[in-house]
Amino acid sequence: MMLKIIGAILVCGSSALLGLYWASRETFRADDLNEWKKALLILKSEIAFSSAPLPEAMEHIAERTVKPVSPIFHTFAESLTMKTKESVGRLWREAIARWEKQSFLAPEDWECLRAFGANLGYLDKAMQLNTIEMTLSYIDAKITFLSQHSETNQKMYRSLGVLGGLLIAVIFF
Amino acid sequence: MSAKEIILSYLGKKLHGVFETLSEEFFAGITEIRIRTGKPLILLRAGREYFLEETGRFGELAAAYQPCETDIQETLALISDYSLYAFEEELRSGYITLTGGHRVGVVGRAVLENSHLRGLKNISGFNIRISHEVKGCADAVIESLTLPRPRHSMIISPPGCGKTTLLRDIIRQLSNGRPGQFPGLPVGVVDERSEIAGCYRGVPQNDVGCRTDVLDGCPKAEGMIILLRSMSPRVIAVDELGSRADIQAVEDIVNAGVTVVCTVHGRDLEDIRQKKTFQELLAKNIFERFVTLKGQGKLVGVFTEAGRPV
Repeated sequence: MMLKIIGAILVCGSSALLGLYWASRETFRADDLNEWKKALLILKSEIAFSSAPLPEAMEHIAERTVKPVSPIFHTFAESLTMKTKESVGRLWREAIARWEKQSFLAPEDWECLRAFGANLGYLDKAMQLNTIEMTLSYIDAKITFLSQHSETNQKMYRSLGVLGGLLIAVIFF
Repeated sequence: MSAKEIILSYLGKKLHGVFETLSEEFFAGITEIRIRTGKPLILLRAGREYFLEETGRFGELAAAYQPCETDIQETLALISDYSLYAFEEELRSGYITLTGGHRVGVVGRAVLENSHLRGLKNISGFNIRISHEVKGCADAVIESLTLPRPRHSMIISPPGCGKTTLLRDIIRQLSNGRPGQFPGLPVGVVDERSEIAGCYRGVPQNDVGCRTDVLDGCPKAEGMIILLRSMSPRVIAVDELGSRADIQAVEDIVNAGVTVVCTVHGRDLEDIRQKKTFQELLAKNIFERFVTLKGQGKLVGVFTEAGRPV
């Protein structure tokens, strides 16, 4: 009997924790998106006002952002400086692939960022700024969406965690 | 880094493979590499053309490797540091300077805005000009230009005879000074086409001496006045004097007591006298020394304003 009670408490506890984690994932994703937004804004001004070449601009961004965004820019800047003769799009995808796991972004966010990288470097200034603008508007839309829905979603995930735990405990008791 | 290493790092994958087999020594002598879409790869070395095959061997014109569009695109990406947008200004002037002062001339389709050139697109060809610094090439003339005092001098030669190379070494020697002969002087250089100092991101890649200030990429006439005002040079050097504005600026800086060293396109002093833009300037007897060159950097002589050899 005692063992059963302990087990039930453990199930309830871990399930509630899982709910809490899922609830905060959305907040973390919004945080990461905000950091990306900051990075792209820096890139925009680097290109528009100081015409900095990509390796230099990427290094500046890496210095002025935090994890999990800064390592991607750092890796990317390094591979550009080495002149490995690969295409920019590929180097960008490789940099993302290396650090992807440490971030809370959703697959659709990565898709958008990869598409952004494919257009880097080859265009003139106006077009380059346009692609940054497009990516920024995607990020903005996602951040607004998340902030509007996060309240209800978080509540849902939290109660889902607690109630789900109770349900399992009741069924198997 | 050697010229070969630098140039190879800027070439696309395939072209890199083609050039890799050339020896360092051969590479150092190359003056121009011509890369055009769908046209044979041509090297210019000591006045002779070489046709490069895909294997890196020299052969007939018909067998030479013909770079494809991908080769050009890859090379362009590397030359521009993957950032074409950052080189719009350079593309407008038609060339990009690499580390080491080597220059890449670029052609393609012009993009116009209000009938002014805004940039280039569909880049179709490069001319990589390898910069050759020949330290000491001014040894034969430097004394007649500087003793007992620095003199207003003009280097006259047809294109490709080493005007700029000679000017660069004169600048270096004036700036460093020659022990026992004359002390080093502050020299201002207006390097409109980045040919003299070969600046990469504003830093001279060629040795232009320790007392030299370089204004990179600045139009000559404006640049000379800016240097005069800001850096108080004793000597101002410019390459390829040509327009009326340039000549006006030369008169202004001579009036300010600064010595001018410049180069001019032409065969000899007589040829320059025929040119309308220079007649007025020469009539004022400002210039005291004329150096003429021919062929591959061969010195014809140093002359006074009367045309007599010094």
